[in-house]
Amino acid sequence: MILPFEQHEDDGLLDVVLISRARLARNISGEPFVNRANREEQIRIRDGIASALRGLPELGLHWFDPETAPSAEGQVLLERHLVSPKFLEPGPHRLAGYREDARLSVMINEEDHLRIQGYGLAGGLSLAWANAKGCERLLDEHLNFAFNEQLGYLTACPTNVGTGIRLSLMLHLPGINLVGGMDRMQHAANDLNLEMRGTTGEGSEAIGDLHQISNRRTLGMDEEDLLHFLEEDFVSRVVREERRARDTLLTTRREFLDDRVQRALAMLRHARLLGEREALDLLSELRLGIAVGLLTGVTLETASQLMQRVRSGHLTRATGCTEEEPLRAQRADLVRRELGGGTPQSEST
Amino acid sequence: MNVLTCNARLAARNVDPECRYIQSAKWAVCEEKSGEGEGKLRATFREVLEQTYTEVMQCDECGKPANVHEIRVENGMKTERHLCSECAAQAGLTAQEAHVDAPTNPVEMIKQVLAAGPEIEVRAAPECPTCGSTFARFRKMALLGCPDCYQALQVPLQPLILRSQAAEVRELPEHQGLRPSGFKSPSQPTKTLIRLERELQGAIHAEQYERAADLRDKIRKLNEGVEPPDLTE
Repeated sequence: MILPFEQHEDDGLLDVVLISRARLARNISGEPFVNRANREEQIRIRDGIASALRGLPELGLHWFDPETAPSAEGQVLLERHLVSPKFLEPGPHRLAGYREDARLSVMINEEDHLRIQGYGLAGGLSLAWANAKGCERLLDEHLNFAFNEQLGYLTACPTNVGTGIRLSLMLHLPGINLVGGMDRMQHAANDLNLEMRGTTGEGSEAIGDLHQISNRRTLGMDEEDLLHFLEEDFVSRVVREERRARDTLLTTRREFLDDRVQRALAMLRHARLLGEREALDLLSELRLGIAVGLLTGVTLETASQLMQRVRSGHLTRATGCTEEEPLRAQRADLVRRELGGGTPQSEST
Repeated sequence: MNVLTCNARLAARNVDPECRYIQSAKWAVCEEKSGEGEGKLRATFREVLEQTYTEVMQCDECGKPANVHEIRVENGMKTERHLCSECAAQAGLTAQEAHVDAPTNPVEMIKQVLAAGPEIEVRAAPECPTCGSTFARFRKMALLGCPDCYQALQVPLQPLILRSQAAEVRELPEHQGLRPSGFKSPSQPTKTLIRLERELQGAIHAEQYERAADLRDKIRKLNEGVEPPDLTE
């Protein structure tokens, strides 16, 4: 089986959807779950799964061992959503594998023995699912997953039992937020039995108007149906609502919107120190300006990439800098460079 | 007449009043006996529960903490009774099994139900023969110990799985979707047997004895035609 990594994924949702992810939870039959396994069992589980994965070079995985790798590397993987915050907590013998192109990652001994995560970029939920499924089906030939007829795949937390699938999308919703529609959106999600969360997952707030949405139901509905339901009944609606909100703002409050966008651009081009949160909020405004056509000369892609590159882990990796204050300066430098702002010398003279 | 009885175990203890899931939890304890005046009853009921959250109510009869609450609305007149389990039992007032009307964060929901209710623990004497996990452990961690826990702790676990899955689902649905390639699907008669057994348990639980007897007959008939599985190996 060949994973469809080469596929193009330009379905025109880039202005709203940043990342699509399909995560599958699996456990090895006959082994205790991670939380109940002793040291030997944890190691045996880790090595068994890793060995099966290493036997599949077509997956193209790089390895990350949180016990031995520098913590900055883990932070980068976290910011790329390739590992979870829980994975990086001190814990049992864990191991992650990921593709450099961020289409696939696996976490061993997180909450479940194995979490397979497939990714698609904008709107690519089908692609995300195809990537996760491709990896799962390959592993299925080598590993014996805990499963029963009634409950499907058995997971450590019963909220994942069944398909073990969590489909999630990272959505950029500044328009809906500005027109005061977030509460309605939350209700709509809730009515559809979907979970809406902040930028970094459960309990977190939405930074830069980024929201994560995912399914709650995992039992009694197959993966394709769920995917179809999420895409047809929710994503297309949210995208439509967000675009409508942006249009409304553009026609009825153009100056207000333009002012916000230009202020954000000016700050980003001229700031000498930028905190992570501040940079993300400003870049969110910038992205909105580009999406509605108020800004030209900067692409959506540049703005989206910057939203990742200004994160502390990425910045530390790129600059070697770990101290907060110099990091803020580095962040401002990076943004200025990318957005064509002035250098300190040219501005002060 | 509309009668609303509930098991207010969610309402009583260990619930963080700041928790944003409480709103949903309040809904979760409602059990409708009649469809009439639903909105009004729910609203009234919520008022009582809100009160319960801020102060633990005392039994009308003996003064112990009350955990069974009843609201009656007759001809527009509302009467309330708040009783402890013992007095409620003496009064013939049985709390209904809670069911969830509003979906909520499933993990939090489970944690809350677990943190608040003593009843499940009473029923949760079983222990997983494989890993030794008990329901009390699950209550604490919201995680099971091994795949066999699903079978061993089935009785207390099933309603929780049902609640965490979807508001509209009333019966535990069967898995749909991918399955291990080496997994042999049980034959059709065995599948039917499994389904009937499940329905039987549900009927007994809901005290629908006529239906239960009917189901038992069906199972017996099916069993006569099917070789029992050999459990000796």
